[in-house]
Amino acid sequence: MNPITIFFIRRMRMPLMVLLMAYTISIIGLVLVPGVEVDGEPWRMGLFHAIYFVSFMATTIGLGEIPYPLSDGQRLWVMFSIYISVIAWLYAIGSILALFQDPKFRRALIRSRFKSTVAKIRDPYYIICGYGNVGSSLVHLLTERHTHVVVIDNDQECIDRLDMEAYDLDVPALCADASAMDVLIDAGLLHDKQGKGRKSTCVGIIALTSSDEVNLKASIISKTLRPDLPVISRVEDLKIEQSMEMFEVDHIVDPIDTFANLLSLVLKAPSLHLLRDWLTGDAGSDLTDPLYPPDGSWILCGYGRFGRELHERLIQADKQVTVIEESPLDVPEGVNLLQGTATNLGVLSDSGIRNAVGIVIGTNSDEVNLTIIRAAYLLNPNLFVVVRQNHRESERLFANEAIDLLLETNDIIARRIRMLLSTRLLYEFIQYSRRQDAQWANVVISRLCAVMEGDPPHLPHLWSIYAKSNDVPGVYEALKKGRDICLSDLFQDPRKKTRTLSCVPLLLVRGKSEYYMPDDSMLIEVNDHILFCGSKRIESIMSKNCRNIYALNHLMRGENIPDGYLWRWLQRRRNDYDRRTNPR
Amino acid sequence: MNTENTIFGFFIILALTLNFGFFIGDFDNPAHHNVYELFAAIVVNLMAMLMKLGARKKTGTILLATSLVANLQLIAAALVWTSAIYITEVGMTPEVMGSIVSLAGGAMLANVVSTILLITENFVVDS
Repeated sequence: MNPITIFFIRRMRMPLMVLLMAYTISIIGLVLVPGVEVDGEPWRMGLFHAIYFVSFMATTIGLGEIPYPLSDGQRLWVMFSIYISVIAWLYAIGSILALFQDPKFRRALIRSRFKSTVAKIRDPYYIICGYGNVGSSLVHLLTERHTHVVVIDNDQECIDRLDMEAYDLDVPALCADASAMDVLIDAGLLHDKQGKGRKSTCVGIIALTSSDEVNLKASIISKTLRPDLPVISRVEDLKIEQSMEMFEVDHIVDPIDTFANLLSLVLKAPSLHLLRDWLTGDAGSDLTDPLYPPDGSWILCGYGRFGRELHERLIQADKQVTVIEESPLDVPEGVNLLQGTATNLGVLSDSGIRNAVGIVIGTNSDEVNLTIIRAAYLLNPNLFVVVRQNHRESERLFANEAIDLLLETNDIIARRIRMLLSTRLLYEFIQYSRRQDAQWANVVISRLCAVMEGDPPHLPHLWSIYAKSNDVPGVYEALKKGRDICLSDLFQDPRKKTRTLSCVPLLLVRGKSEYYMPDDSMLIEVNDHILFCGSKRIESIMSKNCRNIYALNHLMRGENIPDGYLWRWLQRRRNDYDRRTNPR
Repeated sequence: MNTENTIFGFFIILALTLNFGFFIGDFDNPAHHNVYELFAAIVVNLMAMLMKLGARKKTGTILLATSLVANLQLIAAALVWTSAIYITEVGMTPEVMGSIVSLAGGAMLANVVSTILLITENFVVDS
């Protein structure tokens, strides 16, 4: 029996016993005490009437003195019975109410309900540990694409917030410690389609809690119990990151690492960075502007983990760097270090800030960072400012300053994970783009600009088309019949034949070969996977074209193939007649 | 001396004995089967069932099952008696008495099983 039922029964034992005793005593008394019939004859209530009387007396219904008015002796006994039975009922009902209020019981109830809801999910789903800002944006992303999600978070407030959000799908959520094995098992970690004819599958676990240790533990449990399950984990501490690598965590998202890579990209080729920014951002939000960091020497404030990484990247990009650090530890040889507080104007000017072109501010205190920005601008108003924002709440404070590149941990993590969870093609494309040069990026950007919608234009939407039978039956049927379809056929505007839909094919994957930025005249084959970039509206028009073979044919040839047996038969007859009369 | 075990055993065996007391006697002779004994048997069986709720997992579930069976049959016997006398006005005929006693007999078997389980639970080393 499940724990909830056992809990309930055990608690109700005493009240039920008391109730039974009260009823029994009343019934026995009523049977024994002599009554009087109408004409004065002595009469005794039988068992049946006694039980009936006690039933309506104990529940305070009080129908009346049946079948004859009670004698005084009987009335005395009934008085006594009323008190004991009504009190027994109140005790029983009170116990039930108290039981439902009991936090242990409620927790057990919530947990059991969570477990059964998760077990009933028919589609593949992800487990997300930690429902902060990143967590909620990921849940939003996944539910929009109709992918099921299960959330675990240790903070009841976060779960309450989740309950109040209106997502497209039901998101089962549990307030529990994500590093506990039984919690993860209840969240369906072991749900694997292969096992025992189960219908639900867990296809990934994303560890996003603010504690690195919890993320590590959750990753370890997942990799041990289900080695095949992809694990994405957020981590900031280097030692814990190394432990995760030991357990072969599939994607380790380190915000500092990611940001350092971003800075390298900005320094190397601003257009590459812009392209990446546009493709990994939230579709529909405003376009970001390109960044052009100038050439020259840089100042770096704060030599913690963040400072170290960025310092290394700056050196790799052949920049001159002066480091300002209050209490330096383990500073390697060759680093141009100035010991002091970066908020001090004297220290800043000593570091050569007036001749520098850029400054990286990376201490772990938001107030200090904000102060340094002000101080730096005082001394050199033309600086390229790269800042680290530690806490989400300081967003507006940082938005008030003129900052060129801002590291906001949650934003970085969200973008990275969004890219990982998106279509695989996007990930390939981004990886490819990293190895390209600025010229290539410029070409892509100009093509993207041509297709972006909105005034002012906003970030494009990305989607992919898989030339398989169930995805796009129209295209598949046409290809099977041996027709040639090229890419440009797919994005012809059905409403006006000479117009094309404004979208850009970014990548075509055919088996093992990849064609980046394919030409419009390229022919499509079965099982091709194509990544497009445009807007949601264009996606829906295109998918309508692709699904319906008649729509597709109309687009390509401008002719209407007849639909239905009758018309097709007529068409065949007409074709035969044509062939006979006009032999070519 | 475990008081809890004593009370537990007391109620189970009392349920069996009262049931047996009602059952024994000529099969269809109403003089041999007292209605108050049936009443007492029902009350004590209900008490025994309440005691069995929430007992330990292994034997607890089977004990509860036997209790449910016994109660079902005894209450059915009471209902047959009530409907014969008050509702359908058939009165206490030998057939009616026969049905009542059969049902009580069934309940008694369930109580016997329950008692056997109680004995084995106490005399076999638990795993």
